[in-house]
Amino acid sequence: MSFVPCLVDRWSEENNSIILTWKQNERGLEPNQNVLKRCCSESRKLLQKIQGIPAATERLELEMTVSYNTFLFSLSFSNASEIEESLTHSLLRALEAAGSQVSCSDPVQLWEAVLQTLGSSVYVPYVHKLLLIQWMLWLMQCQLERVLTLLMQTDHKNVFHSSAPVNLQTETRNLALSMEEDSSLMVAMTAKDLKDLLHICTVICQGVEQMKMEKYSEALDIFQEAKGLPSPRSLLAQIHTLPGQSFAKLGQPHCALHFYRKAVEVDCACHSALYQSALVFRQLGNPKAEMEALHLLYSAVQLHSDKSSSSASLVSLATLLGGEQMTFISRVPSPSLILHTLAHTCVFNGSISDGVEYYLDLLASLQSDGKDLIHTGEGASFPRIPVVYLEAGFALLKAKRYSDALVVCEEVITSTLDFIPERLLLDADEKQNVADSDVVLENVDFVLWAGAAHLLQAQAHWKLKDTKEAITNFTRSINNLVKVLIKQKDWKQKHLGNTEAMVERMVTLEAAKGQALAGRGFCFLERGELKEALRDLHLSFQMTPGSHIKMLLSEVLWRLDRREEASAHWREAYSTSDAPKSVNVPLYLQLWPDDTAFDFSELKKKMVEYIQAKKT
Amino acid sequence: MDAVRCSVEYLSEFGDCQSHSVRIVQDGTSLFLTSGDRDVLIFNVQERRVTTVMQFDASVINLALSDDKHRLYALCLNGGLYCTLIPPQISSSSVLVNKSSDGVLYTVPDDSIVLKNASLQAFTVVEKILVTLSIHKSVWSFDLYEEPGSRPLHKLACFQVVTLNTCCLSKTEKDKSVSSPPVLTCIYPEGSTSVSTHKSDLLPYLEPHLFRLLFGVDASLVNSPVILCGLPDGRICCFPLFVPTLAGPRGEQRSPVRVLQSLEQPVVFIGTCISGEHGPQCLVAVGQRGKLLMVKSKQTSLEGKKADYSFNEHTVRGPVLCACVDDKWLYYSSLNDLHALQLTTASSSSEATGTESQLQALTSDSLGVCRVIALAGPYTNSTGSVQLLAVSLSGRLLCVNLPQGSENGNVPRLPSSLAGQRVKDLLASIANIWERAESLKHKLQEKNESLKRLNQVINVCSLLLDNHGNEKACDVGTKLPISCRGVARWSSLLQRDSLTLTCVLENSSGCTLEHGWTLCIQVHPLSKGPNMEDSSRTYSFPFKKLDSGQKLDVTIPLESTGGLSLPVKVYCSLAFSLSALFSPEASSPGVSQLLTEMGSISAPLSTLTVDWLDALRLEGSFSHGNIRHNTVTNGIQAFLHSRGVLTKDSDTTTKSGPITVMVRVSSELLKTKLHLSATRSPETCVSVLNWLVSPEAIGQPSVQSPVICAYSPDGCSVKLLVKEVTLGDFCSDGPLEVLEIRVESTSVAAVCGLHHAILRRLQVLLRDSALKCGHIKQLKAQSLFEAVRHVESLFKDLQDAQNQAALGGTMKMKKNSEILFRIFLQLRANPLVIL
Repeated sequence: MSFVPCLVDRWSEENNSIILTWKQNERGLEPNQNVLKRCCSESRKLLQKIQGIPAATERLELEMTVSYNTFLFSLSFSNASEIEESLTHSLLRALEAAGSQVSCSDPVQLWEAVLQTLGSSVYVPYVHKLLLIQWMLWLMQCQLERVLTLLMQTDHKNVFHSSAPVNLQTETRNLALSMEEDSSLMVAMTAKDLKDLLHICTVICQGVEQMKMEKYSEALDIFQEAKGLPSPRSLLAQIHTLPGQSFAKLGQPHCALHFYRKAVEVDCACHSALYQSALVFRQLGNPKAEMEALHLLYSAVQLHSDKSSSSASLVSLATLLGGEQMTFISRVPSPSLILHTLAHTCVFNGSISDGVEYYLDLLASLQSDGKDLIHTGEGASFPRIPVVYLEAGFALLKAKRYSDALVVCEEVITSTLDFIPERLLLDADEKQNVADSDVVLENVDFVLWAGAAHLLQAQAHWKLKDTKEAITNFTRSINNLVKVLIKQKDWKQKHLGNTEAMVERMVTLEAAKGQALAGRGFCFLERGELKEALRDLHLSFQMTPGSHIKMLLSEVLWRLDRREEASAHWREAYSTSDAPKSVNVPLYLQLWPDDTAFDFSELKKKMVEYIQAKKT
Repeated sequence: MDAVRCSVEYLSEFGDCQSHSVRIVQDGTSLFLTSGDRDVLIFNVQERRVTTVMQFDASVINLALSDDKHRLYALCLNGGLYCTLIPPQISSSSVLVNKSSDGVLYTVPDDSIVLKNASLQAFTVVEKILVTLSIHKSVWSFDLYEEPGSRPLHKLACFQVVTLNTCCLSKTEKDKSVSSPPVLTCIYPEGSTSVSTHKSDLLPYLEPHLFRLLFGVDASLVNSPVILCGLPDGRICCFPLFVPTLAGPRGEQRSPVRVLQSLEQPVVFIGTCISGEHGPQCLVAVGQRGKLLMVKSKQTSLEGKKADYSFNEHTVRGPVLCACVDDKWLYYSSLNDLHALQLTTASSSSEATGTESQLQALTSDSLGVCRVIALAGPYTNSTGSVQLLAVSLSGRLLCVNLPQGSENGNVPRLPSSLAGQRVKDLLASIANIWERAESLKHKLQEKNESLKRLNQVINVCSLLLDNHGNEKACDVGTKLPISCRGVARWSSLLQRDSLTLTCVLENSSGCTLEHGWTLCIQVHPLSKGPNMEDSSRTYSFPFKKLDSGQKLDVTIPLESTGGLSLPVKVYCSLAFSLSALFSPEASSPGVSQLLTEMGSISAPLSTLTVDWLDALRLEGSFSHGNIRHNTVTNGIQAFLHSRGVLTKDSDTTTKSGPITVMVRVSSELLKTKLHLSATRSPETCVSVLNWLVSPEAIGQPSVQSPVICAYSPDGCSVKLLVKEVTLGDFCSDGPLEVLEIRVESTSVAAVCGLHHAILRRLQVLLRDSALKCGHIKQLKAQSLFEAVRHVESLFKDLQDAQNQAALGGTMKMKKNSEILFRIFLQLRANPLVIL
């Protein structure tokens, strides 16, 4: 058979030309996915040709090299099981060439046979290349146990002589693979590079597994080792982020922040580090830092979505670490949720103007392109859209853009109008199942949203000095809110089916009612309708006791010439310090210092005079 | 009643379809059609032809176009979702130039698979988002992908719905429900940007009020389109496309998929239409067994009361195979008919009379188109009529033109008179088609027949060719599969005796000689008389059929107009005319036209020779009347001779007495050759004479004596004698027994003819005697010498006579001939012995 060496030459040449094309593409500025695709199909064809004739030892090196290249190329185009199948086929052919027949298809046994047959021959470098592929495939499927067995098989001595418990870490560390490269047979990725990549990825995978089992200190040990290993840049950031997350879980936020900062230093587009640090800042109560982190994250996410080009690298980390692992590592909420969190944090912490801009951005993105909104929302979920609208309206109101606030609230009113029941009776004694209570809760929500929208509108009108319109809207808000009737006196006790959510709703409802009544009372006061003002303020005080309302009450009573009562209220209000900000209620019902835009100095003077006069 | 009815235009035919797998998608003039096989046909509605055939790897079960209409998504049976650019259409102008260009076959490459998942059931492409529905382990999952995305597709979201535990359904019903795939429809809120930018009639939309009620505050605030899915178990699920995963009432994550309603039967169609006269849009869903669900918003009282919507269920006659809707009409096909259902009247009447009428079955109007299994449309064309495109079960693509008159709510039903006419028309067209089919069948049969015949002919020809070879190799001994033998006989007809040749064609081969074969017999006189320039004649006998083992007897006269001239060679052959391949009533003149006169095959069978011996009439074997007649002619001739009107030949015959010629053959030779067992010489003589006169009947000799008196064909009496003589001095071994065959007659012609005939027969008999007779007689030189000298003297005389003839003119002609005649007689009278 004189043509065989000639064929071997030709095929090696073909292989080398494919690799050269790929290398050239890899070196280029914009690696092209199509080139990869072409290389893949050409390499596959070549492999088919080679495997078309019976296996023989003189072609074994060529065949194994081409297999190795083909598997690397096809990583992006075919799934692991397909590659594994052809890998098994290649191994069987290698054994056939070596003259031993193994019919089993179990990869572990197959590898044992291959390593025994070819383990001490000149083909070791090639066998080890295929072994790396097997390692990679199992790593992709997160089958670390099998990787360990495979690597132990490679090192015969360990299997027989060491009685010490083997673990993957030491095994990978001490792994001695033959890495010689044959210059006449080119490969798409040198075995050493692949081995290093696999090594670091295996370590990270182990660490992530530990984290999933909530063994954070063990995970930290593993990540400690990972730092010493050579790794690509994008992975380096993760190597810092993951221990940061572990530290955060272990209750060491400052250590965590340290690691996150390192991660961002390595890769400024490391989303998860930014997100995690924002969470830590919130935990630490550092709103400024939190806002900054969120802002950075948001801009990074937006930049990323602009690029969003799939890299044409041969072995991407995403494929190596499997889908689940990667999502665990780089878990970041959707851009719209980040934007909402950012806007919410801004408004909540008083940087209104930024918050308003973010809210407007969010509303615009909700209206225009839906694609950002759709996201595999792991963990965090987006607030209901009317809530977002109400928050935006609130922010606009605070930013003194009253007419805009009116428009936004009007949207909520029209959309909820159809859902508002005539009256909603909540009967605690009735046993409700979850589905029913869900419906009830949803209805309460509708009432609440409509009421809050009217309330915000009323406040806007009031700010616009249109007290009449404001009173109308306050009234509407109250009318809405009182549709929810509770057939139980002590509703704060957990009686209703699900309660915690219900209690929360009730608190919110009461707060809204209180605000509405107070607002209307204040308006009446301004208009001089003191009786109505007194009634509303009394009711409001019942709902939400507060020094501010007390002072208003004393003002009204004073004007009504009920001085004794007025002074009593005044003293009460004056003695208790200002009530703390009610954290439990939603953002859009938060009380604001400037709400109390009433000049109490006159009253104060009179009160002081009156009290002193009484004393004397 | 109006005489309006829908007209059905037949556009094309694609072959049989499976009812559940036909999909049609229309985009402008292009119609994408799949009938459940691997091909997607792109049909140009205007040009009415298939412009492109796209071939996929596996059977296509669903189709959709991308938003920009540049890409076609196809879901195949192998679980692969293919996305391929629609190949550019050949513009009609180029078609005019090149009319012959049929559809272009475009094989969709394997790598255009964007998604491979064997559990994929349905998909749709909405607003650059690909929504797929797959079922895996009794969980329906909706997956959202970015549409013109990188490969693998970027998954945006995934929602899941658990299948209903339908224990009450039997297995078969389950199978059936699986066979009807889920229906995915996207419904927009009115006024959303995509509705206003697209042609609004293409996208189903709902008025904001109902939209909000049905799909929630969030979807309506975001103006998100909503995906509705009719599952095979009858549930109608919906989820808004562009709403992020929202928090539930308790702050937990909640699946956006909601179940609107269950039809409790597989859902066939979901769409929207106008409810009421100019009312807002309402949602319509149709189930396979005829349940029709309409969701309308209730007209609420102005203040306070919570607004509501109503589910109205109606029943139409199922099964519903497919449906489509325009503003006011629902068109649906049961297998028997295509129905049009006016939804507006149904709703208004139900409002008028209350809830009872809602339950009653709606009556729908038949459009008279049956077996429709897929619908596209409806579209309003330029003339204002509404068109539906439909595919029938037999694979016909139909364009159903709905009359404009349907606007007024009239039933487009046929009046009975027209119906009768229509039935007649249809029957007539059925008859036409039947005729065409019959004629085609007939043609096919003819062609088959022709081929069969041709095969027979070729078989026979090869048999005959083998014959030919055999004839040369071995002798007559072996029986040939197809042979022809001939016997000359005298027969009397109309008081006149004539010599006829009876030929027997025997077919002992396995083949049947079919119609079209002809037995050709060519009679060719060997001697050319002065008055018969071209006297060869051909007789042909076409026969119907000659089965194997059958014989065909034909009789031909040997006399021609110029009288009988012997000997005669008869060539028998079988001929076949190719035109017989085509049966005479064949309606295909095309091929037989091409056959010229050359279109025949001729295969030689055998060659016979009829000589004087064959033509002899033995005394006693015929009635004397005829001979007398002959003698009368002789008499007349004699009379004419006496008057001096004489030919020279007859002159000589009359003058000289009976002429005798003789042939001598060694009797031993003859005996061995004829396999005669007789030892006594008289018996031998009789046998030899028998052989000469009637060679066919050696068994029963017709002659008992060694002398035969017979009449020659021209009526002269002839005597044939055979006797054995012993030549003592001839052979050196001793006396040689020699048979002497002698012919005596007054007619020179008869003598000559018989002599020639005897010699010819001996010649045939002894053709290879030299090889077979090893024993060579030692001849005596003396007698041989004498014989040679005798011949030499005769030769000298002949030369002299020739010289004289050359020198002398016509005057000496007579004398010359006399001399020649004498030489002739001497030569014949004492011939050499044939050993």
